[in-house]
Amino acid sequence: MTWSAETAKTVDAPEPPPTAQPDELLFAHVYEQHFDFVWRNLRRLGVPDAHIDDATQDVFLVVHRKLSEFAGRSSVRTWVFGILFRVAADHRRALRRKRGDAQSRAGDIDVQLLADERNQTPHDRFVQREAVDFLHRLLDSLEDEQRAMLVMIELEQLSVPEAAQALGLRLNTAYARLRAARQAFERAVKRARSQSPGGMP
Amino acid sequence: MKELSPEARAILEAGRYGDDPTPEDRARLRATIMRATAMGAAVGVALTAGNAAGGALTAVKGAMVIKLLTVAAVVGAASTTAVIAMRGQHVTHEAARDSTAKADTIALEAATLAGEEPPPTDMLSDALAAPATPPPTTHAPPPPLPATHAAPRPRPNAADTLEAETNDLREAQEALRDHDAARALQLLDAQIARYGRGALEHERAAARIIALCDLRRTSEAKKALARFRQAYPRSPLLPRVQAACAVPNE
Repeated sequence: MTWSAETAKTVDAPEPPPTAQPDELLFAHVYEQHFDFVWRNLRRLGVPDAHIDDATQDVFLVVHRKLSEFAGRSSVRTWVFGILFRVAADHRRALRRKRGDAQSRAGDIDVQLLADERNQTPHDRFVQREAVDFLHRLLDSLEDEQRAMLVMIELEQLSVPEAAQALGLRLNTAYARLRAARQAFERAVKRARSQSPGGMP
Repeated sequence: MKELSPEARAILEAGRYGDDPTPEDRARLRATIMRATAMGAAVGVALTAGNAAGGALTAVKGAMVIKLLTVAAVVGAASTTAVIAMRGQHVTHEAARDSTAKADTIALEAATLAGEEPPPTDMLSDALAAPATPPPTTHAPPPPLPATHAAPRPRPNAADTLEAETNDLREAQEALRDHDAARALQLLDAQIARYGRGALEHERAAARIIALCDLRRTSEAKKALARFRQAYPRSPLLPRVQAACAVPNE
């Protein structure tokens, strides 16, 4: 490409993404900033791959509808998590009704979905997929709120007050749920270890 | 509070990555969600405006939504342009509350907020009534029509025309995404011949510059960019076009 530095100097630099609060409230900006967040956490909260598109769309339709009511008492991320938590619960409930049992997303995964921009080798992707599958299986064994607490705090690095806001819990209750979530997760790890004496992924 | 054991933490850490969407997921969902939210807005607008301005106004707003969404689709300037789409919807909502709002006024406001130069007041009317053949290069703009006179204008094919124009532009965009700039340019030039100024002239011009840059037709690209900047100095597509063409540190 011979599009020169001279030209590059004469053109304006691309505008930075809007960061001011009013812009943050615009749906499209929220969408761009939170799409990956919504997608991955719907998966972590147990929405099967076949339903991820629908669930993601549901989340953003709610965001679109409710954005004007967002009062800014929490971060947008926390607010969005509260929405996706409820949407994920709705989808899981609907699936249970439809299939008669809880649907684990493990096994639904298309390996190709894990082919991402990080240019992993097939072996890397396989190992990654195993690790993700295994984590999801452990998360499947937790109650919904415990699972959400673990995802928010341990995986998304939100603070406990933020997680409490997202789930509409009092702070003390949130701490209690986190404690219970960690204990339940440890139990799930122990169970998995006992079932796989040869080693876990 | 008791922390997780190292083993549990290692499992969480190992599974932390791998749930993110692929670029294909992002592209697929963006189109679906933006369409769904725009439809919701358009339906709301249509219901509000239906009694006030009639079907012509609804069609105009629908066209604006398509146009604004197309901006996002055309050059992938998703964040900026999607914000614009939102603003565009907001404008149409606002306008719909005004029972005397004129279709061309809505177009003017939406385009202004979208960062474009204010178009001639007949731009949208022309776009909606765009013939399948290139318009004459010179024509005197007719005076803006009040909303009450808008319905009798011959617009039965407006939505079809805009849809066809949108589809054609999308095809060129797909060629660009497939790194087939030559085909993209060929398609865009054919569309310029077919639609003339058209409703998507702005987006087409942006895509054409990117195609020229991809083809390393630098001189033509520079001239086209200069024309683009002159025609659309506040275009939200401008940063994207420049970013696509400029190579820093070269």
